[in-house]
Parts: sequence; C-alpha cells; structure tokens
Amino acid sequence: MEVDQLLRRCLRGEEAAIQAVFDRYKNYVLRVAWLMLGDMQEAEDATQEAFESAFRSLGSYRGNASFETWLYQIIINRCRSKLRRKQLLRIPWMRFAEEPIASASDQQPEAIAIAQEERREILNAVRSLSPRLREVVVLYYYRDCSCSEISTITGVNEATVRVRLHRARQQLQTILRAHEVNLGADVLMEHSQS
Amino acid sequence: MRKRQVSCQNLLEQMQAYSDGSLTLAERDLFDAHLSTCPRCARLWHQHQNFNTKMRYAMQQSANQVSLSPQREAEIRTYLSTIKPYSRRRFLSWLNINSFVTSIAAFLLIGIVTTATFWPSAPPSAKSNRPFISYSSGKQSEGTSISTLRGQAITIRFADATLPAEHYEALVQSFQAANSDVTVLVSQPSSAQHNAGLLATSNDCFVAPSDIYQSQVYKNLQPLTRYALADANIAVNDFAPALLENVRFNDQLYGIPRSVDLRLLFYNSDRLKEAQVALPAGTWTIDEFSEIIESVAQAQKQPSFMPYDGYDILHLLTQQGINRPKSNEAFFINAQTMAALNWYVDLGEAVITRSLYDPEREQLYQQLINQQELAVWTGKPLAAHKLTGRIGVQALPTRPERPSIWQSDAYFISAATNNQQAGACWRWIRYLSLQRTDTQQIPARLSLIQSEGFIAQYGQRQSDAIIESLQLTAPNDPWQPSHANGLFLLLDEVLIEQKPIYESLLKLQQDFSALDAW
Repeated sequence: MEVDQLLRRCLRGEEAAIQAVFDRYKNYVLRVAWLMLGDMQEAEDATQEAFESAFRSLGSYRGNASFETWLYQIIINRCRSKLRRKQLLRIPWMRFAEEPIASASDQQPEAIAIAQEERREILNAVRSLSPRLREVVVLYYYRDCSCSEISTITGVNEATVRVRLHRARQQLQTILRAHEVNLGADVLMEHSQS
Repeated sequence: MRKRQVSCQNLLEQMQAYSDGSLTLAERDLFDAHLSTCPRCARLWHQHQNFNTKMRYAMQQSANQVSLSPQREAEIRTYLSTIKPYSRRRFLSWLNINSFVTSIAAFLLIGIVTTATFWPSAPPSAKSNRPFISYSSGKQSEGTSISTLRGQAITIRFADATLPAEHYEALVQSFQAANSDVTVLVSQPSSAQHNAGLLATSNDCFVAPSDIYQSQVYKNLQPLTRYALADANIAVNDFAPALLENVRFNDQLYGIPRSVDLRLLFYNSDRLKEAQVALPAGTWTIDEFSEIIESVAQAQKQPSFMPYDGYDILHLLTQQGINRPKSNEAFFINAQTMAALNWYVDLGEAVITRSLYDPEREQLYQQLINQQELAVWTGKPLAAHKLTGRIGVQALPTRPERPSIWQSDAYFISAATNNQQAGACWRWIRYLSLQRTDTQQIPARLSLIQSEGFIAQYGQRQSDAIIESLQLTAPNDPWQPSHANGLFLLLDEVLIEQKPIYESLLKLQQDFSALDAW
C-alpha cells in the first residue's frame, strides 16, 4: 500500500495503519538511532519517542519532503537531544564492542568483504566523530541520503553538508589509519594538503 | 574556441558533487575528460569511490544486524495503539461531509456577528481574548488590586534550585518588612528535583526552567495573566518576546521570566584582524564562523579550537600530532589523550574518571587552556568582559520557540496553591523580579540589562550584545554546546580569578560528588 494512503488512514485513527507504518520504518529508524547513539537501550528509547512524536504530530506533516525524510528529521532530533545529556558522552564508542556477531549467511562477495574487526573499527571511528559530523555520515552511508536530503533532515544548508561530509571523511581516514585500517583513500589526505 | 578544462584541484573539489549526481551534464563531461587524461586523478577518484563503497558497506552491514527486541517491540506497539494522531484536516473534512449543517451554521453565525456589530448599545467585552501582551505594544492594564485578604497571616513555600536558600535571607526580611501578613519559607530542592512538575507538587511558588511545554508541565501551574494585567508594577513589555513565549501557552502566561542563559560568541579580534578577516556579524551562522576560524588557524599555522563538544578535542589532538594508540582500550589509557578528553568532557558533563584531579597534570591543562585563544562561545557572558580587550563579542540568535531548559528560567505559582496564597506568591515574585540581586545570571528584564548599574559592571558591549541576542531568532538551533558552560566555569576561575587550576578542579570535584553513584 502507498505511504500516502497509509498516512491518511493513520490520521483517521486506524490502528492497523499505524502499526503498518511502524512496521515499515521501525528498523530504519532504530538503526539510525543506534548508529548515532551507539547504545541499544538508548536507540530503542529514541525510536519509541520518535514514533510517538511522529504519530502525534502527523497532522502537521505537509508532504513537502518524503515521509521517510520527515521521520529522519524527528529521530535525528531525538538523538541530538539524547547526546546532549551527559550519560552518552561517557566513553560511548566503547559500546560498539557489543556489535552483534555476524552469521555465516551475512558473508559478502570478496570484492568488498570487510572483516568484522575492521567493521567495528569503522563504527568506532564514526562514533568518535562529533555528533554534527556523525549524523551526516550516518545518513549518507547508512541510508544513502543525498546531500540535499541530508540538508533537509539536519536543517543546515547543502554546502555545509558537503563540507561536513568531507571533513568527516578526513577525520575518519586519520582515525582509521591510526588503527591500521586502510580504506585506500589517500585522496582525502591529498585534498586536505592541497 | 578554447575548450574549458578542469584542473586537478577542481576535480578534487568536485568529487563529492559527482558522487551525489549534482554536477551538470557539462560538468560531468569535463570531469570525465580530465580523468581520462590524468592518471593521478584517476587513481584518487578510484580511491574516493573505494572509500565510499567500503564505508557504506561496513555501516549497512553492521546496522542491518540490529533490530528491536521482541519485548520492546511489543511495548511500543501497545503504546502506539493508544495514540490518536492529531489532524487539522479532520474538522475540515467534517464540514465537507455535513455541508447542509455547515451552511445553516454559517448563516446563523453571520447573522449573530452582524447583529452584534451594529447593535447600538453593545458593551465592550469585559474580558478580551486578545493575545497576551505584545512586546512592542507597551500597554498594560492597571488599577486592580492583586493583594488578597491583607491582614491575615499567610505562609508561602518558595523553592529555588539554582540559588542557595541563604541567598534569600536578606530579601525575605526586606520583603516581609513591607508585607507583614506574608511569611516566606525558602527551600533549595536538590538538582534532581529541579523540574517545574516536581516543584509544583510541594511548593506554592518556585523558580524553574521555563520549558512549560515539556510533558504538559503547565497543568501543574496557575495562569498568571490576570495578575500581570492587573499589576502596575509588572511591565510585561520589559521582557523580550522570546522569553515570554517560553512561559506562554494557549494565550495564557504561566510564569514571569527571571533570567536568561543565552549564547554570546567571544572571539580573538586580533587574530582575525591579522588575517584580514571581517569580524563576525549577526548575519553569520555558527557554521560559517567555524569555517572562518579554521581557515584562519590553518593560515597562521596556530592551533585553534572552537569548543563544540567533547569529541572536538579528539580532533584537536590529532591536529597537534598526538598519536593515538591502536586499540580502543589503549586509547583510554594514553595519559595525554585521556587527560585532555577528561579535562574537557568532565568539566562540562561531570563524568568519566577521577584521575582528572591529578596535580601533575596541571601543566597540560594550562597548555590546553592557552589553546582556546581563537574563539570561545558560552552561555555565561557576564564574566567574559574581564578577558582582555582583544576579545570581541557577537550576539547569537536565541531559539524562536520552546527553548531548551538551559536557556531561561522563570517564577511560577503552583496550580495547587489557593487564591489567598497565590496573591501573596505574586507579591513575592514581583518583588524578586524587580531586583537584580535575585539572579547571578543575566536578568530577564531588558530594563535591568540596559541599566547603568549593569553597564558599569559588565560593559556596554555586553549589554548591547545581550539585548541584540534576545531579539534575534534562528530557524534551527545548532548553537547549544551545553558543556561549553563547564569549560567556561574553569576559564573564569583560572583566567579571571587567577585561581590555581588544581584548586578549581578540586572545587568542581566537590560539586560533582553527587555523581558518586556513577
């Protein structure tokens, strides 16, 4: 069923439609929150709050951006708010050590195969970015959002999104190199020196 | 005609845009043409793509293994089933469906309005529904007495979690000398109770953050509109609109703004002038300023640090060439890294470790403080004027609505307080509101910020910047590094009051002792 149709039914108070929208987006929202916060409990809380907020204010959704983009705006705001609280500033990236173990069926083609240890280093590196850089990285790499969409979601202009993305890549590369993870991107360093 | 070409530098700059598909067709052609003739750029482009692919893969693979626990999912589903989405369109669609009824209602409504308008002796409404006080109107009702049952003994319980109860001793005496019927009992709740909802359950009136929208806190509060309109001593237009907006809900005023914790940007004007960079103006965004600061720092080959959050210090350390250990564990036992990170994060957020309070590290702290020389921003501007004259100050916008709890606080009266006590509470908070001595922060009243006393103490530049900041609004709020306050606390003590760093740190440690539970 089309999202617009589902949302209209949600506005009429149809519980089945609300549950259907939740089913459709729950994982995306949870995973964005998890990547931002690095803590499953916090991510689940943020997810619940985001859906509550979204459904309560569904009447104010005007359809200027896609519903998914609107939902990401809400979850990113929830994450920002949580990150401001002191608890999450406490060595948060260490928690990525608890990343679920991949099953054999998750193995990918050799061409882009990255060892689990390397993936963890990448997540840790992402987690060590400042929140404003991290949110750009999460939306760009995890959700494949364009710079324009990220601009809508984060409320900063598109040029700033590009700058942040570039800066985030440079920092990621620096951090990953220190951990002997090479994603083969000398270009980032060359760019910064030029 | 000479064919346009892309330089290697241009190509590097366009890589992101190319990946996003945001280059024009002509630009893409030029980009491709350059790649086909420049092996170095072709290699770099390949690396760029490779980096993106691996990042995307790593993040998606990791995230895709995460899902809600069944128990939590069930909880959320149950919870969502109780939500009734609000729709502004519902009423409109009802009107569409019931067009006949709507027509009749509209006809009757027009008739009533027309009759009322032209009725010769229609009296003016005694209670106007106009929105409460606009900042520019300067009008307010006067004359109605707000004192209640003077002569009877009234006891009110007043709570302020931001200032110690002792602070109010002299104020209470002075107030009671003029209000002999009122006894004020002042208490100081713990910071855990610093919440309007909790304070309202056990006090008659209190000071709390002015986020009355949060969790429907206003339901625990008395509307104060009738008092404010009736009180000639309270000029409501003496508060900036943004502050009143914080304490207004459904056109009712629920609190009297007390103080404001806004953001002013302080910067090293010498460094910017030296780099021939225009000084910041109100039209700048913090992002633009941040970019400028970084470029100036690079050009002058000097360290700069724009405190945003605890993570930025990691970047700073990288800039300083401090090597990072290779594993996560080692990362935190690297003395320099850990000390620096703790120094920054702990002061603002009171977390992590007590190893911070090690006198041997004093030299490192001093070194880091000295690096804060290009720009700082803070919610505590009152002390910053005591920094050297080369520090410039720029107003930053406040948020237009529903600001966070850090931004302002206000006096409230509990909904549970009876009329007699509420009248006494109003007299007490009006008394406090008119004094600057009631707050150690920036007073909420514009007249106090512009007063001679304030300017004599803190300078005209700060007074102007604060007033300007209160009038500015911004659609988004990327401006709020709460722990910059903690950073500035230390800078205050060390740079201005010349206290030894160790002493300041010890004091902070004591302040944070409440967090021993960690």
